[in-house]
Amino acid sequence: MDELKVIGKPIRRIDGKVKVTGKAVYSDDVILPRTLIAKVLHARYAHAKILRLDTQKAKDLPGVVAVYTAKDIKFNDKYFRMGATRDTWVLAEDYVRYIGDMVAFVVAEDEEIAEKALKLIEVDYEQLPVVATLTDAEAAEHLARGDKPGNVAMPLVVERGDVEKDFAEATVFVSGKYSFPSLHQLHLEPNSATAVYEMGKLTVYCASQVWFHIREDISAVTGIPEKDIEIKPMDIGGAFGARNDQPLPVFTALLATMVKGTVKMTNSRLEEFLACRPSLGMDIEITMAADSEGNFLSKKTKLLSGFGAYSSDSDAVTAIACLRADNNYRFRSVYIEGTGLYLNHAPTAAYRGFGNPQMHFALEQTIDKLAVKLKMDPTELRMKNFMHAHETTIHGFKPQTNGIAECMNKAKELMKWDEKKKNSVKGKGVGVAALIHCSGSRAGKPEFAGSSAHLRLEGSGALTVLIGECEMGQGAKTVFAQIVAEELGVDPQQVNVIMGDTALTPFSTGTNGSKLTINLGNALLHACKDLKRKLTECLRERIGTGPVIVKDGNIYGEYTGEYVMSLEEASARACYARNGQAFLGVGIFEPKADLGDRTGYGNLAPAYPFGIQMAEVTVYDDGSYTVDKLVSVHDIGKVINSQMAYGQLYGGVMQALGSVTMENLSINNEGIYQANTILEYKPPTILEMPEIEGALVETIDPYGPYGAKCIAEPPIIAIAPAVANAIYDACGLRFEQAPITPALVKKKLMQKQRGANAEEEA
Amino acid sequence: MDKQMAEVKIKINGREYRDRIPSDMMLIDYLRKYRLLTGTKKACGAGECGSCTVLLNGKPIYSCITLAIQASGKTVETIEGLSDGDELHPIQEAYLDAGAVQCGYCTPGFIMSTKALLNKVSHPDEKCIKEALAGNICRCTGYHQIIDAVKLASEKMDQEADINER
Repeated sequence: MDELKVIGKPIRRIDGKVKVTGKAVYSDDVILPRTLIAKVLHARYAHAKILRLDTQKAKDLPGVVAVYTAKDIKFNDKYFRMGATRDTWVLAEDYVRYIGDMVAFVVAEDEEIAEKALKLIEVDYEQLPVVATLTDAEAAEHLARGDKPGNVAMPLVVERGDVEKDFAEATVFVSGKYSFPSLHQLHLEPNSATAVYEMGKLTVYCASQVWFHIREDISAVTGIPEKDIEIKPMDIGGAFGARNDQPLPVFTALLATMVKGTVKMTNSRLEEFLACRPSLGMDIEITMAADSEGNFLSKKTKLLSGFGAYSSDSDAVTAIACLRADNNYRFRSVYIEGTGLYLNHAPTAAYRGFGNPQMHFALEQTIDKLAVKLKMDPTELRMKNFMHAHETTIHGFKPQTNGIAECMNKAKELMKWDEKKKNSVKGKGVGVAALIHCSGSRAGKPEFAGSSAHLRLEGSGALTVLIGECEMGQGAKTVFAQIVAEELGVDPQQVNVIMGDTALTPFSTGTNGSKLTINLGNALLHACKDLKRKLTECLRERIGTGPVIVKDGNIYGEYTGEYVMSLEEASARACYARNGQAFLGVGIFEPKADLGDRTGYGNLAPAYPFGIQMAEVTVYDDGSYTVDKLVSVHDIGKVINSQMAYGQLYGGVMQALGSVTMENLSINNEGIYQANTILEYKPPTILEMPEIEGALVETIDPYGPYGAKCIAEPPIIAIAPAVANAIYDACGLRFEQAPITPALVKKKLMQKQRGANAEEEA
Repeated sequence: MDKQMAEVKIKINGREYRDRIPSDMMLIDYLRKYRLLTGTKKACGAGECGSCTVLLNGKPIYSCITLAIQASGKTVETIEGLSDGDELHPIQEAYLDAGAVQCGYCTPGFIMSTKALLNKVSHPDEKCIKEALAGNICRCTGYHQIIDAVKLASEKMDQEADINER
């Protein structure tokens, strides 16, 4: 293979210039004529029966165009989202089930009138008991929703191997009971959409990770066929999984259809907190069984996950939390009991990592406990039990590459692990955690596994990639431009990339599961080859060039190696020879990946990323602690763009740091969120940034384009347990509950102190 | 009840504008809705995240909690005023070179805060950079490459100053 010219290089992002000049167009920047403004009336209580709902005064306010409640909406029961558990509505009918549940829509001439009208809607509620915690939900003394007995949304029981036999053989046991809160993805751009209804057709300007799902949802609630709906992709101000399920664009489209006009709706920050789809809080109990040498034998896990009042992606997240982390290790058997529970909390869904960070927080701490019990170095204990490439894991993964051992060695070097372990300093500690994830999970549509990409070459020389997924900041457009640039020898900055216009691009299942580089990158590689074949055939047959190839942005004789003409000239001549027809390269990638059987067993992804994350902390006597250094080393396959790969790494690491030290979106006993402003929610600022050292281990995966796997999700997965393990190393206290706040540390330190004093006195 | 209105005269990116606006209108809404300068972003509306940062008489302020009338008689610089036609400002170049942009929503605010910092301190150290940008939140980058960008911008602006002197 020729040396790569563009792949692997830190190319500037191709959508960067519009972003640094303020010219990028995000959804709220869309300004169209005759636009009406819509607002939502959210529930005041987390669980209540609606006794009376009177909208007359709001309707009478001058400037109000319409006020709608559930009874006005023809397909109110058709908003199913993701399809798995059909348990949700557009607007609440007789009950509200979380603060943020939607009760009424107002459409008005401007925002001020719409806000005023909301205040004129009269609702009488009868408050009902609130189910706020997983413990309460499991006890089922009260129901989060009257129609769901036992609060159970989803049971999952999986057993692989002979757990009882392995437990009987084991000599060492460790266990823990962990809890990880619901988190807010907190993309900075609030959801906004503008929908234009015209003569039976809809055009919707919005941000999304799932353009084609949004179109399906809009069709379901409006009754307008999908072929008459166009979703126009705007620049996206972050997503992190939160834009897998977004009521806002769907309901904006519904309102435009109902008033037969143009409607815009933009969330305030408060609404982003109230009506969001945060991640699943989980309570996880693990008991691990090993032999005296430290070989893992078996594991029993009981997991409770919080679905919120309705289900969204929650079932898929729960299943992944239950199974994925196990695949890193050589367990002989495992038993998992996972239960999804309804709570009077916002419906929960995807957040970067998709359930995997929650389980890693539990499993990677349990492994550390085992290391303590066996007096083994936690890095050595893990190394002893890691799976290797080409082996089939306990839940059916078949990674072709696995660079976890290299990651461990590199991480130890960057952290100076051995040195720090040998010369321990009072109050300071280091911790490690390992991670596994999927590159391009087999999800989306049960009907097919793959992805499609188009590449168009016009007579003008314009090269345009057409892909139905989204650019949400992760850098996909640049990766695709680099692939085209590599294959055709053109400047990546000259490649146009259109992502997500449903009228222009191939159908796609959604930008999730760290799949774009591997799935769409492969599809685009095929599209490049297809385009080159079609172009060179035309040049040979209609222009008479003889056999030629495309290289370095030019056309050369295939055998002579002589320059024939520029690609630009070739595209003009070849397109005109075809009566102006552009060339369309079509590429399909069908990954060798399964949907998984009923128990979740299967090779779910074409490839698997691995990684090691480490933390160094200092714990002070007053309970405060500092995270001094984080190390994050990832096997991501071939690196396509080193600068952007590190951007993903640092970003994921800092989000994870927020999750383990500060962030929490749980609700109190009344169903009120712990935080509904950015200030209260406390995402990390630049002041919280510790020293971060990243490194990338380049395995070359046979199923990845140029050997690439993924980097989007892995950096968020194992920082939390690494920090918890470091805190244990520093002060001997185990924190099984996130976030690990200074108050919590102080409380435990004082308890420990009192215990020591009591012992002394005795 | 009719809205109380006020006359404002604001110089934005070098041009003076006179408008009659509601006196309770925030500067960000004036910029976005009256002047269609949509580069300034609203993310929290409460002065918590810095996405709406603009320079008022050279100082960085949160335009989402500043009344438009407070800017009357003053100069406002927004992200749109930074580049010179197709020529990017060295800070914008530095943000691109350092990989400090991902989703881009916080970027205009960060760039304006960076400009305010570099106007005051031409060679800030890391501590100084962190303090100057502590009022801006970024959820994508983890800040690492933003710090690189500010350092690089400082170098680029030095080079430009050198060229201008020659």
